[in-house]
Amino acid sequence: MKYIISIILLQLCFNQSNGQRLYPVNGIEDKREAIVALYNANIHVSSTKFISNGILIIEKGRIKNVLPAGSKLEKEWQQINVYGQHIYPAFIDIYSNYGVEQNAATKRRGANLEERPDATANSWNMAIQPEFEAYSTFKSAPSEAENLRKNGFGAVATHRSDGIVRGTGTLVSTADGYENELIIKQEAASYFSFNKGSSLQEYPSSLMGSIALLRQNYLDADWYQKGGKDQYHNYSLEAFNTNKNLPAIIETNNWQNVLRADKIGDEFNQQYIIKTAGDEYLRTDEIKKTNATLIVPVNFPLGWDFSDAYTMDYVPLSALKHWENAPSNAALLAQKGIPFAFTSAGLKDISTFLVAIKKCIDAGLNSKLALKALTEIPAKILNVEKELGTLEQGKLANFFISSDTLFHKETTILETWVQGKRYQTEQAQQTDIRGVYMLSENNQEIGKFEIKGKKYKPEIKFDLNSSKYEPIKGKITATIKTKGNLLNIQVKTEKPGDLGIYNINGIVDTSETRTITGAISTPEGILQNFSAVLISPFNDTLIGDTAISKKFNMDSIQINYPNAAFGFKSLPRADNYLIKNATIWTSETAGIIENGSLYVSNGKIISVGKNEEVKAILPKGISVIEIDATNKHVTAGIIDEHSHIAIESGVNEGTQNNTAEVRIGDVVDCNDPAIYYQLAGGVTTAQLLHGSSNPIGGQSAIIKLKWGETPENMKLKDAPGHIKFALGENVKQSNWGDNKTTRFPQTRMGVEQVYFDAFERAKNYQKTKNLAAEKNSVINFKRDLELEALVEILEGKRFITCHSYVQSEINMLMHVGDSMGFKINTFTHILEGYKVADKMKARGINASSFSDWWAYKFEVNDAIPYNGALLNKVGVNVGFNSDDAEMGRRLNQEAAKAMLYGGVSEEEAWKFVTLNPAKMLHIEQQTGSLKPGKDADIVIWSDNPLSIYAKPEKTFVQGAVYFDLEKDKILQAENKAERNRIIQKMMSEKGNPENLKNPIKRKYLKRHCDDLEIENNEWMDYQY
Amino acid sequence: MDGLSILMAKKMKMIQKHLFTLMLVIAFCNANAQSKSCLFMGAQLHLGNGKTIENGALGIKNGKITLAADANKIRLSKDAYDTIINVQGKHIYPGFISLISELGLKEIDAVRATRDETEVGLLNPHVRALTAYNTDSRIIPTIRSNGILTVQAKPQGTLLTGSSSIFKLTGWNWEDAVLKIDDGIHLNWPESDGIKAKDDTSKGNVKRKKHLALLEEIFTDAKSYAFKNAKTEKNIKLEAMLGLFDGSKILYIEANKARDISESLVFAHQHGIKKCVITGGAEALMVQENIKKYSLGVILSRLHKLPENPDDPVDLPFKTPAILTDNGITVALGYTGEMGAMGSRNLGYLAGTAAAYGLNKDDALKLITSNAALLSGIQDEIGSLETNKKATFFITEGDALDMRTSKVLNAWIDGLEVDLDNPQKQLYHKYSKKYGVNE
Repeated sequence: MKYIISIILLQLCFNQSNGQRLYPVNGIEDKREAIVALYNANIHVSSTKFISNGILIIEKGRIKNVLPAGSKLEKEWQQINVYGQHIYPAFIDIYSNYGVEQNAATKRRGANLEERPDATANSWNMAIQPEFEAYSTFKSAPSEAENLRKNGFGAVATHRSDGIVRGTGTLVSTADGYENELIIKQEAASYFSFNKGSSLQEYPSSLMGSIALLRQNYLDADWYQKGGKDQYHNYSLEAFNTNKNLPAIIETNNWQNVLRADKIGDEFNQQYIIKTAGDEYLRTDEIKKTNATLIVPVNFPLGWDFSDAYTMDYVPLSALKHWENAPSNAALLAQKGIPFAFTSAGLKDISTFLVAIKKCIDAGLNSKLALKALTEIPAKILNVEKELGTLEQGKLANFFISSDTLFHKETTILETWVQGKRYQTEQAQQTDIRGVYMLSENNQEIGKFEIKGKKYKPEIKFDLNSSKYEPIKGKITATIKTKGNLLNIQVKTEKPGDLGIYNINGIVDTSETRTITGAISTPEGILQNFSAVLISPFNDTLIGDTAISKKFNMDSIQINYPNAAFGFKSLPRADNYLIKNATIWTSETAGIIENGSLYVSNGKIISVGKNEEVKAILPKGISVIEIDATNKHVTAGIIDEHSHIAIESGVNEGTQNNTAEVRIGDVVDCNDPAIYYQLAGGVTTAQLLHGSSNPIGGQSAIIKLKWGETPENMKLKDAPGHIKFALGENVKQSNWGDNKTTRFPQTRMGVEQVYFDAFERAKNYQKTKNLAAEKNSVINFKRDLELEALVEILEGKRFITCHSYVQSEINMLMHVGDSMGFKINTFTHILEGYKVADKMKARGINASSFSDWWAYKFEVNDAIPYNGALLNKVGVNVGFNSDDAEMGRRLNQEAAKAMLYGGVSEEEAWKFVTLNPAKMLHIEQQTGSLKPGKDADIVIWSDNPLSIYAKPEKTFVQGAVYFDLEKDKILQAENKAERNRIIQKMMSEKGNPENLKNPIKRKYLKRHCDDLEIENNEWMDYQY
Repeated sequence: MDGLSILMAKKMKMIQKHLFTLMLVIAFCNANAQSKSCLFMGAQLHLGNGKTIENGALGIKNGKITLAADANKIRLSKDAYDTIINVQGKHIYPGFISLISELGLKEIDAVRATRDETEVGLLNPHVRALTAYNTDSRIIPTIRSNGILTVQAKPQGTLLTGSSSIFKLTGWNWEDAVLKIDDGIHLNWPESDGIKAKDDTSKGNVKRKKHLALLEEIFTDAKSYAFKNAKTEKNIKLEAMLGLFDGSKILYIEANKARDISESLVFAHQHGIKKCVITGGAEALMVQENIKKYSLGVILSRLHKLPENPDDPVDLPFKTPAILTDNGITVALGYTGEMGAMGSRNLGYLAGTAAAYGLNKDDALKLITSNAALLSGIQDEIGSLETNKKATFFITEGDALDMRTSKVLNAWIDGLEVDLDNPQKQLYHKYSKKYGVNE
């Protein structure tokens, strides 16, 4: 459909004062300031106020007045009859890139770029660009503007989507004209994201790095404000502070990031408006708590082509469900009372925007709320309610006229007025020619014809009493074209033998009674003049919103925790359990109890002992779930001291040799299916560690594997702080290829110096910090997140887990610690720990090792599977870890290898994966063994837990069952049925098969220490 | 002291610690090497052919098994064996066989100079693992001491990667060690994206088409070469492939997607390949009929892996051997993937996993013994404790498929006892001594 062809300039309006010229004019002054009245109008003044048959009056680009039905039309007004049509306030998109040049994505391959390559007095990091002002580069783009207008948009807040701090966006109208007049609000909002964009610098490479950089920037800006500016100039920080008064919009790419963004906002007293990815319906309760207004996209996922049966299983249930439920996102947000605006961002073709909004309404969204999310809410977000959002007196004349109520399925936007300028579509300029006409030739009535059907797609039926028109009598096929008031009808005869084509050309006059005059050419080649007069107008019944579709049942949406395979319908809750007749491995002085019982309540272990002992002290009168564990073994849940599961967008922020400021706790990913895999292997607690690509890595997170919970709820409450250090080949970048030879350090000699340097700086920082804390201190202290973490180490508040292999480097770090006054908590991997076991023992350092890995790189050539046993015998607290999502679910078998290699006793070997790692993590008061008062982190095993034949039958975390072998089978069946239902639905859905994606096989991406990939797990990518 | 007596001295020490009851007799048996006959009485004999004898009698002579029977049911004259060893309470297993391995070809993953498993080029049927296999690899003794006594060393690569050979894990050099020269040729079937036309222009598919054309060409040429009477000019590549057409060599096809498995097997069949084995077989469950019809069986990639697809049951990889076996498919297990060479000392536990998830222990044992022998064409020589097979076996404290009990006490290859010491044990001894702790 060809669209707008002409622009009718009614006014050269805007807010100029008379006589004041802003531009030189080529020619003479030609200002026209007519008052325009749209009458017979259905005016949707706002999402809640409606005037039927009213008059909308426009003057100088603004709404002069809105008059009710029956009001008088003044002669001096230009009058436009919009009978039957609807006027709505124009849409506002506040997440647009219109007219602002975007930076191309850069590929950062090759050498490290630690410092920014372009010298400016801006931020040290290219991803921080608060000084960028979109208005300064804004350039109207007529064809884009036209596309926006014809889809109802009258104003957009546009910005440059590049970097973490992206600078300010500007609110512009979608009219054509001088940029000077299009800018409605020069600086409308400031924009943020977690994506460093086109920055050439290495840092940050991970999501946690982005978060740390943003947080540090807030701190720096605060310090700058308080006096830092007297010391040096930094335009970025200056702009950052200025922008703080603007609405702050942050872009996120999933609901977890929505929560992360809000958390940063809370820390720095900034309520972000959050641009989402459209999946926030998955956790509306948490989203609601952010108090954030959301900007919600409507680019719903495409379906998959499942014609190849072999590939069906490649697409996860989570993605299938998202395909089905994404259109209900807005409705579910509305149901919770979460305010949101819509954006067209992410749509490949903006002409699908209204269709998508209609989909939202079909999927349960109230149409009034939909309108509000397109008008009033975006206006409110940008504090321009006085200018935009409704059709109230004094506001900008930004509105559009549609053929029907907005969300009617056949509605067309006919014209859009922006800043009082009228932009009509081709259709709008088309005369409605429908009705019954009397046709006359040579002043003689020869019969009737009827034009009916849709206004813009009419049909014709002839009932002419003339023999020459006999072949086209009755229902015939005709092509009807109209252009303005010109009409062309081409009719083909349909009866066999009567071949021939009639062409009817006419011009429509609507000044009084509608008439068409013109000529008909017959198949015989005769040109016959005619005149046709309307004798009966077309009766079009308007259909209201209620006719849109049948009511959508919101209750049909089942959102699971997580909304993926093996997700729960409702979150597991702690209950009272009595596990009896079991062989209980207490990992305490009681040892292994035969015929034992364990009583659990409120998430805690209440009693453990022989059957009769526990029974005797069982509280009376409360309901207890009894589990008969005859022939089964019961242990504490396994603790994986070294895990990289459940981490979103990057395990390593390895771009600097010291990144103590980054926190795994910021990026815990509760959707990782590995959580469920580990539960199925009896793991209940894991330390999620930063990788090992730099000497000082990031801060770790300790999580309980509470599958289905949010990241924050998984994190162990009040867990002591930990941090990752690393030595050897990874931090020297030995195996990273021939390009990576410039970052300091490249040798073990250099590694030592990194620590000396870091802790020297930390000590100085600590001194300054203490001085600043003193009463009457005048020091303008700048909090430094990196050094804060190191000071915490010096103060014994944060524990080091150090990735290490060979004895020389282990010894080195112990000496650095001794001389700088800090303690190493745990050496992890520590495959040559057996060579320095006595030294570790002397310092009380823990060892968290692999059972039997070796030979994968040079530094593990002397690794031996007896390492764990030897360290244990010398008296070091030893554990075995996984560093691997697959091995993590078989840690019980790894523990058994301590028996195989070195003859550690069963009871002691079991502690390698339970109590001993609990001690390393300083959570042994809470978990790691079966002792009254500890968390009920419990596994019921089918066999001796150290045996390869043992399977966890139930895994409890804090008294709630998170894995159950029997329930797992039910979940499998349910998943299968649900998958099949959606796949069948998808396959039977009509639509262009070209729009379907091919299922692609993706592997679960296991993460390891030296994993430099920042991409998310491919299985997750399937969601979007 | 010569080599043997050093070994003996060490052996004596070890035996003192671990095997009091066996000490004297074993020493005696060993000293007389292959020519003397030896009878092991009273152990559980896990035959590797699907059966276990609770109270077994295992006789060996001249490097071969002469007897594997129920001790309660046999009658022997007192001097039928030179030595009779009482191994009551112990377990005897046929040596485990590690197929599609990189052992001997690769020493340290991250150090390029130590890697000899991947040659350049797409069509390398002539490239042989045989002569690159390093009997002095430091990894080998650590594998051997866990009961893995035979290995197939396989060249890696992109398409036709080369010829493997099968080795026993003893020997002064590859010539000594080899059990079967050039047993098969390895093909990585180009991975498909699917059958939909939309895919045809994808990068992967364009490359795939090229590779398929190359394969079509070389297999067609090799076949006509094989049946040509007078070979005027020798073609080394085609020469290497001759055995594929008379069944003297196996074509090992690495294929993981269902479509690739079925497609590659029909390809091989149409090109007159006599014996095919699928390796990898990640999606084997979906194309079991094809596998049954066109191949000897499947060597599954390392069972200890996460599910293939996100919604798969969490234990599906573990259950796969049982499902395939129940359907009559011959399954063996490979210890493939990252750290495959050094990790293959855990091969037994893969079979243990299969036993935990659906197979009985005897059938699980077959996956790494008789089935493995069958799928590598050495079933007449090793793979089970049956008469006339090579005396390649080991004795354990308990169940060899469970790390909790799998401690290997002694092992024999071709009737010769094997040194179970390794550099890791030596470091263990050295440092136990340093700290004065008990081993």
